[in-house]
Order: sequence, then structure tokens, then C-alpha cells
Amino acid sequence: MALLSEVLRPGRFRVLFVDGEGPEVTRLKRLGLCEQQSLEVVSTGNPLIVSVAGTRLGISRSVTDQISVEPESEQSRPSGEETQ
Amino acid sequence: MSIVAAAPRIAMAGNPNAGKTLLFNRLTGLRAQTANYPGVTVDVRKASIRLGEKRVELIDLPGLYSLDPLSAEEHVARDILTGKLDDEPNLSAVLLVLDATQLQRNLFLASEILELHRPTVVALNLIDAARSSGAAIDCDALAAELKCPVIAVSAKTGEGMEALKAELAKVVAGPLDVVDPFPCCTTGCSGCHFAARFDWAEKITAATSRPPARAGVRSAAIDRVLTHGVWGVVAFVALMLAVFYMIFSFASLPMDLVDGAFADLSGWVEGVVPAVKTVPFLWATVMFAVAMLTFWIGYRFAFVSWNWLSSTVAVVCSAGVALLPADELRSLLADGVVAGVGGMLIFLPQICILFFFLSLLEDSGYMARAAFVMERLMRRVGLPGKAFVPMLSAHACAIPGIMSARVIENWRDRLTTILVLPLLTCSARLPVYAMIAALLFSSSPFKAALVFVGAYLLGIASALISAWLLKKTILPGEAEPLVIELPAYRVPSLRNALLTVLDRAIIFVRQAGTVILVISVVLWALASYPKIPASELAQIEQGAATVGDDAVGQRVAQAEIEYSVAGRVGRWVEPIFAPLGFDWQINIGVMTSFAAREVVVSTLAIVYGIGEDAAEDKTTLIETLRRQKRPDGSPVFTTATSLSFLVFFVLAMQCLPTQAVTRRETGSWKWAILQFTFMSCLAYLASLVTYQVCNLSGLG
Repeated sequence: MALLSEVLRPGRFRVLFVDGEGPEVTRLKRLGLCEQQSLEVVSTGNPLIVSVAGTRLGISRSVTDQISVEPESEQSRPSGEETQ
Repeated sequence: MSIVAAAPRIAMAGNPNAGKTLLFNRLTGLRAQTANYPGVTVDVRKASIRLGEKRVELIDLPGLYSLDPLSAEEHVARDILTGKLDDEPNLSAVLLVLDATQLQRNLFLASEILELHRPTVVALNLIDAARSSGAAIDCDALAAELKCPVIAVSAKTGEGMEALKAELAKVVAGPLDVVDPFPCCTTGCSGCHFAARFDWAEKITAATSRPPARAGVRSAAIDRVLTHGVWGVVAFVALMLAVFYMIFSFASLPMDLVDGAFADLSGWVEGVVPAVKTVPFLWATVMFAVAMLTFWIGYRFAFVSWNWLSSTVAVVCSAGVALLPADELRSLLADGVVAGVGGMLIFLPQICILFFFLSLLEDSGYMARAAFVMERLMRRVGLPGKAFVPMLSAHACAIPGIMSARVIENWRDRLTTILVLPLLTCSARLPVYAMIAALLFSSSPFKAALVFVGAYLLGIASALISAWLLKKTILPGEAEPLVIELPAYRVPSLRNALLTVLDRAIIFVRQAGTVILVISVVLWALASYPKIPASELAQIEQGAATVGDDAVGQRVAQAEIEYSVAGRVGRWVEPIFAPLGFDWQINIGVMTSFAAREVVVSTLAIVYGIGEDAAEDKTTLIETLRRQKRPDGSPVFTTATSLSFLVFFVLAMQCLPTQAVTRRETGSWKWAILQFTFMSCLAYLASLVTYQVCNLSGLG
């Protein structure tokens, strides 16, 4: 298990849980960053870019330490990708 | 607020990037009206359209990601969908717009809306883009899963529009076929309801569609440059400079045209209104009727209802107009009304051009990347990345800047941005900067340019510091961290951009324009009344006649403004402004320029007795300003006074149109008054420091 803010290289991950409450967390969850969802870290700058539920999202580093993730193997669950 | 009473109402709901507005425009053409909900500053577009035998009111709700709203726009959309808005009749149906290229993500919102169990029709938009990427969606299978009709459409090409209209007509004609209700996606789910909905969306997407062959290759490639730490910022700055350049270069011609046309109109009005009332009773009756008619049209246009207050204002003002002497009526029309309308319309070219480009950039998907790259820089002063676009726009004019602050979702962040925007140097300050630069360094273009650069930097620094201070005091809290969807790049729609421009222009003229017009007339009255007594006027004319014909008009204008309320206030406030180095004549300039700061140049020309026309001739004006002496014989415009005057004009809130727009966008005069007070105090203090430091250091 690691925090999303600690991820240093692109790759596929699964969200374990999102810590905290309030509008910031709702914003993350309704865009697909919620328990058991797959995500792909596309770029690890600040803000970082992840691909989740078929879309790319830009996320400030400051909220990524609220998201706990674990690496996901390629075969276990393919993540969606955007279509254009 | 409804356009057609008791007409069936259909609300269009969808994710922010689902092409909903384009579909709305396709279905309604130019028939849309923008309604503003009381107490909130959210615009919702509505239009009356014919569907089969019935007229239907179609409502374009603001885009939303879920029924857990986070912004004011999402609150309104949610409340209309769930029937929580008290003054809104219930919806007959929902038109749910889904992006075919982002089916899985869009199904999340779909599951929430379908659980409301309202009659729903799904428009599967962007079907052409989905097909060209190699994806395939089985609409019948999707309809079976969603328990409602699904029509594949493309708002861009018009594909599927007739089928969509036919399906909507069927829904509003009723009664509907009995189908199984949409089952709750979160039944039996004990954990996160978001996760349950995303799982359901993934399952339905897999069962009803074939994924695209090429997955986001193009957007990913473009993003590698546009979201890059260095190249992304370079691209952003280049693009914004281009937009900014185009606003300045394209707007100057229409602005000159508006300026010229209203100057001509003003002259025409002066020629057309008779100088004497031949039949006073008939004159008064006709003028009263004309004034009442003007109020009726004005109220209708600005959505003001006829209550006891508005009726009393209309009757009293109309009676006043009817009883005005002929020459004063002429002055009211030419200098108050026509100048007021002109002063309002002159902002339109910049507003239109800015919103045209912003709409294209938004449609193309670039705006999300702009917020992304500016995030780190803007956060240092406590503002989100999205605040950068309004801040850049405000360098042309604060009004479109404030209107474009709506891109910022968080209310505190949006309010902070709006409050500091007018500190940035707008084009109306340039005549004042030019005057001071010429006054101080007419022989050195380099030093004159430094005056400009210094003034711009002072504006930027004070805006950023003020934003930081506001976030530390009355609007506490860190800027909301960025969590933004980076939608796939698309070719923007020109038609959409033009409709956005039309929409913004109408909002400005309707709601800010009417306030601006009223204020212009009030300021005209303050600078015109009380009238100088005839005996004194005769003396002035006699005295000036020995110098020449031109001098008579200039001396009379000078005496009239001195005698007016504005002139008297200028003298009364002399002790307050003396520590800034301002004499009572400069004070009159400061008073009159509170409506529009560029007016100060022509006011100074009048109060220093060279006439309004001389303001055009820079050399005469500068020479006259240099000659002015204080009672003790020392010059008025020393380096210290000039710099103090410049600092005051950089920082002071001297633009009532901006105040009217702040009120509209924040929903209350409270914030407009706070902005005015804060900027005026800041300007006073900074000018005081400038003048005193200059004097102490021997620059005076």
C-alpha cells in the first residue's frame, strides 16, 4: 500500500480508500477516484495526471496524499482509456 | 420566470463536457433567453420550442458531475432536477445528454438521474466522434438497461435530431408506455455509493459497447506538450498573449465607431431639441408621455416589475423631465442619456471578442489545460489556476474579466478574484498614464515608457498582494486544490462561440447597462446643478468677452462646473486630499472620474479653463497643467503631485460600470461596496505615501 502522492513512476494502481470528508473528497470520488477503482498514473508532475473511468484527470499534489493505492497487475483489471 | 405559462418543461442535464449546450443551441436556434435565479448568480438558458402539437419549454441546466453538488451552478441544476426550487413548476421530462466517447464516466450521472424516476430520454451525443474512433454502441441494448429511450445524435452534424425531437414529443404528449422502473444501482451496497455506481457503469459499458480501436492517442500526444512543466507554460503565455492582442486590435475599430457615433448622436440631439418651449402645456404633456414610455421600455428590457417604488420613480422623474427648461433638457439628453448609453456600449466590443475566444478555447478542451499549467503559480497567492484567465482579461477591461470569473467553481476563490480584478490596468487608464508620462518626461520617451511599465507592475503587484490578504482575512481558506477533467481535444464550434457572445452581450446590456445609464444621468445632474445665477453668469461672460469668443464658452463651462455639486464637493474635500498634493481642481477631476476614469482628462481641461475640446490636444493640455499655480505661487503639478495622482488612478475604483457588474456577478451590492471602499482606501494611502516620500526626498 502507498499514497498516490508517493507514486514516482507511471503505472496502473487500484484505489484502496480515500481519506477524509468534505467537498474535496466528494470531488475526487464523483470523478471516479473511489474505493476499488482502477487508475493509471500518466504523469507524475504537479499537478499529476491520472486516467480513471475512461478520462484523464489533473489532480493537485496536495490532495493526492488522501488517496491510498496499491499497484495493480496488467491482467487483473484493465483500466478504461479515453477515446479520442 | 417561465416563458410559456403551464407549458411542459424539459430539463437538459449532462456532464460538463457532453456537448449539452451545442445540442441545446441545435434544438432551439436563437430563441433562447437567459434567466438568472434570485439570490444566486447562475444563468440558466431556456427556450420555447415546438415538439409535435405542443409548445415546450426547454431548460439548459448547468453541467454537473453528480447530484452531490459542489458549485452554485451544480446546486441550481440539482434543485431543478429534484424539484426543490419553490418557484419552479415541476419538470415534465429530463433530456439526459451522454457523451458517447465517454460512456462509462457519463453513466455515473445517468444512474443518479434515472433513479429520480422522471420520464427521461437519453441523447447519446458525439456519436460521430465515437464512431470515427472505432467505438460501437448498441443503443437498443443500452435503452433496455437504462429503461428509457436512447437516441444516437450528433449536435455538431445534426444527425439524429428529428428522431430525438419525435421521442421528446412522445414523452410530453403522454401517456407513456409502462416500463420497468430503473433499478437502484446501490441496492445492497454497504460501502461507497460512488464506487457502486462506477462498477455499474463499467458493467453496462462493457455489455452495450465495443471499445475504440485507438485510445486517446492524439489527446495524449498534445497533452505531452500542453501540460509540460515548461512548454505548457510557454504555450499558455503565447496563446493568451495572442488572444489579448486580438482583443486590443479587433476592438479598437468598433470602439472608435461607437465613440464617434455617440458623439454625432449627441450633436444631433442638441440640434433637434428646440431651444424654447413654444406651447409650454403641450411640451410638458408630450415630454411626460415620452419619459414614461422610456421608463416602460427600460423596465421591460431590464426585467424591472412595476411596484410602488418603481412606479413612483418613473412618475417623479418623468414629471421632472417634463418641467425642465428646454436647454437643460437638451443637456440631459446629450450629456446624460446619450453619453451614458455610449459609455456603456463602448465596452461591448471587448466583451464580445473576449467571450468569442474564451468559448473557442473552452470548446476545444484547452481551458482545462490552462488551469492545469497555471495551478502552481496561482496557488502561491492563494488563487486557483483558473483565476489566470479573468486576470489577463482584466488588462483589457475589468468587466469581461469579472464576467469570466465564473470559470472558478469555488465561491471564495471566485469572489477573491472578482474583488481584486479592477486593480489590474485596464485600457481606460491609459489616457491618464499618457497624460502623466507626458507631464513628467515629455522629452524622454524611455522614461515615459518606464512610467507605463511601473503603473502596470503596481497594478499587478497590488492585485496579487490584495488577493493574498483577502485570503488571510475576510475570505479565509486555501484555494481549492485542482481536481479537473482533461477532456479529449475537439474542433470548437464557431456557431456555439457566436451564440455565447450574443448571450453575454445581452446579459451585460440588460443588467449592467441599465444601472450604468441611471448612474450616468445622476452624475450629469451632480456636475450640472445647481445652475449659476444669471447675474454672475453675465459678469463672467462680460469679463471673458475682452479676451475672445472662445474664452467665453470656456470660462462659462469652468464657472458652471465650479458652481455645481461636483465643484463644491471638490472644494469641501480639499483638506482630505491636500496631503496627497491634490488641489480643489484635481479633486473635481477625481469626483467626476468615479463614473469612468478616462473622464478626468476632459474634466481637468474644463476646470483649468481651456474647454473640453482642448483635452484632445495634448500639448495645450500639458502646457496648461504645467502653468497651474497654487495660492502660494508654487506649481501644482510637481513630480510629487504627478506621481501621487498616477498612483491614485492606478489603484482607485473609478469605474461604476465595473461596480454594476461586480454586483451582478456576486449577487449583492455588499461586495461592490467593499471593493469600492477597499480600493479607494488603498489608493488614498498609496498616494499619500508617494507624495510625502517624494517631498521628503526632495523630488517635490
